[in-house]
Amino acid sequence: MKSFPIAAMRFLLLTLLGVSSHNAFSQGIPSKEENIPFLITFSKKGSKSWGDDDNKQVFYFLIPKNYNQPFYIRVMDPDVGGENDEKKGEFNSTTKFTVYGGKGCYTDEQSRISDPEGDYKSGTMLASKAFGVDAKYDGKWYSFGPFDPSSGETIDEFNAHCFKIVCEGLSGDDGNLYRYFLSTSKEKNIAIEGANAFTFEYAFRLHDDANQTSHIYPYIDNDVVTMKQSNFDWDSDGAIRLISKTHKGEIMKASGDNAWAMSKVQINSGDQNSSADIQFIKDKNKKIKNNNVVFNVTNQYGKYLPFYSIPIGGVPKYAYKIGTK
Amino acid sequence: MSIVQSKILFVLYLACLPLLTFSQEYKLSDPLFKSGHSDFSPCFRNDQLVFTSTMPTQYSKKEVANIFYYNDGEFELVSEKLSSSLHDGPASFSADGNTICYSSNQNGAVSENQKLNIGLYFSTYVDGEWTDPIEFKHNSPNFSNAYPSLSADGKTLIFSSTRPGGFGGTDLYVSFKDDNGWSQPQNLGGKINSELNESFPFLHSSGRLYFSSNAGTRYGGLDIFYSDSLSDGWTVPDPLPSPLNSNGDDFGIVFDASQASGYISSSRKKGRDMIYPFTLQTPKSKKCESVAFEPETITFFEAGPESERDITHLNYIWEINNETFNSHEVAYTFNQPGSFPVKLYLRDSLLRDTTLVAEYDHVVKHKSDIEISYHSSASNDYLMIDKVHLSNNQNLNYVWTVNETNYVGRKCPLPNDKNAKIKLYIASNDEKLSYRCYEISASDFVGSE
Repeated sequence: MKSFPIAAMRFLLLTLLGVSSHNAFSQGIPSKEENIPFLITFSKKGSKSWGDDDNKQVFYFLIPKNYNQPFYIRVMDPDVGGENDEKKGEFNSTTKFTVYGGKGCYTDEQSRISDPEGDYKSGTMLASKAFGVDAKYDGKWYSFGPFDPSSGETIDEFNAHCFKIVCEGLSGDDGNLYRYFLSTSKEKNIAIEGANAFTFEYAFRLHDDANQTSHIYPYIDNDVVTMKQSNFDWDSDGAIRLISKTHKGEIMKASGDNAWAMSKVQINSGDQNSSADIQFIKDKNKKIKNNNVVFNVTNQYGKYLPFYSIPIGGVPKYAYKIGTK
Repeated sequence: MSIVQSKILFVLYLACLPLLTFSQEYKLSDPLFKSGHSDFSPCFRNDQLVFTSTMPTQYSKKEVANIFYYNDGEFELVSEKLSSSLHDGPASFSADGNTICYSSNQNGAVSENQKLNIGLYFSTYVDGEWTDPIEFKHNSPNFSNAYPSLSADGKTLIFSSTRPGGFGGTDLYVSFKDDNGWSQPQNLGGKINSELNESFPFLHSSGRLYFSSNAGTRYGGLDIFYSDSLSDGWTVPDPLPSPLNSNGDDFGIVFDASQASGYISSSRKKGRDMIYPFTLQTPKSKKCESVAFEPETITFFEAGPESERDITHLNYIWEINNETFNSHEVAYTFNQPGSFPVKLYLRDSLLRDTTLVAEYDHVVKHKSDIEISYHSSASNDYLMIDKVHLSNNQNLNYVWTVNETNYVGRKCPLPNDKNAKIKLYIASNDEKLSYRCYEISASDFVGSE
């Protein structure tokens, strides 16, 4: 398997550093631009039809090299119980969050495979904690760290230190809904300027309010000619639509219950080196609640494209233009 | 200083430069008459031609100037009251013909150097006769004020003067009449005046000033120049073309209201001052372009980078010139030139919202080189040139022909006849008699409000 193109990632990070100032204090994951209420990871005994294909979720964090202060990876509502989480019978689940740094944390090719058989635990484990039903953490923040930025995997091409957090659903069958925040403080959410986060596969909860549209923003590098999107367990809840600089609103094939759906999109040169906006537009008539979906995108070589919580280059817009004849 | 002396004192400047071309062609006729004396400075009193001449009268046998009417070969003194024993004239009248301003030697006012200077005098026509002359209050025995030109309303006076403080020689000055009388004369400035002599002004009702000068002359002797009064001052004077200017002294010109005909005095033949009629020739042009605005239909469409596909959930709403259209493309007809806002809204049936996605101002240009507008005044309706879109927009001359009558300038009267034939000829002084011709449909304007 070919490695993820480092050159493209370098460009990506440089772009990120150049454009991220307006988002310097919005390093919540999911971000405000994504309008996703929660990430979700079901435990192993949970049915895939509930909206998680592999019972894990991996996120990478990029800490700029010029930042040398301790930082924290904060998790909102890490336990499996209470109001936010998805209950199947009685809460009986355990979820484990593990933070990795060091060599191979990102560069190990296997870590970037969406498939759970990959070595997504590569690197050096820096912290780990399992959460069950625990009112102490219900609806509250838990902070991993402090971490020394240099304990991450230093990637010169990114000009950053890379860390990884893996959320695994262990025992039980409930769904853990949670959010992250990359913070300079253990007690508060204080963003690190120039930092960002990305994943290669999103598993998230949609809003119950059908008027709310969620977004994720894959970065399309200049190697991408064709983009293949895969979505799981969308429950036919409306439309999944692509907007980019050259796509004004292409409807993508959407999945039903407990099923994958895939479709390809032709990428134009005008879309390269920029983000795309994948919109999850709920059917306003169905009023489906507690819908969870899994989503990933690959290029024509089968390589996974990263979704940045702060979209590189800003939220993409189609360039409408009035012509005359 | 006598009138003749002052003219003779002009230094002849024989320029070796090539003659300037001029766009307007004039036809100069033979002298109006041959008195055998010096006849010059024609002007109009209403429809009557008035001129100054040194021909003898029953009151003076000597070669002194007096002011005469000309009527089919007959001459008549304008008034005995306006004829002194010395030089009287040239003259200028207000548009109603009831005020005259004229030059005359200041009787008894001898300057320090023993010269009998010239002054300006006014008289009004009351009950069929001219009143006793009243002296211009800015006359002085120490310098001359001469060669007056009154504006049509009689409230602006341009004249020549040797008063101190000028650019040299004789300069042109202006004075304005208000409730306190005539204002202190103001020099017309360095664009008009030079270190040599500027004299014989004629202020046309269009605002164009004609005058003679021996500075920068291209034809020889005194040449006649013209300058237009704009909001930022006078334009740089241009010489009138041949045959109006000649290698003799050309001076004392008068135009009719349309500037299409007039009279000029000149010493071109044997050095004798005579008055010549002239008329503007209708310019010749093989082809005339229509200036009527033709409605323009433009189709607007979304021209972004994506090919048309898979957008059934997206609908366009166009807002063009404040009209709304729900369609993929819009063919819109603009019935007048101008700048019109065009906005494209996107109606997203999935999100159930409408957003403005593109906008710009569409400019509809008048395809003709010129833009003409209709105006109405208390006295008449007229057309006026608003804009000219030529590569060379400088020093343009405009000649209109309306039913074969010529008019010069930016505007012309609009006849109340939808079938009237109106043509406009435009040429630049920089071009060699190369006219552009535009045909104007009177029906586009007649009946406008």
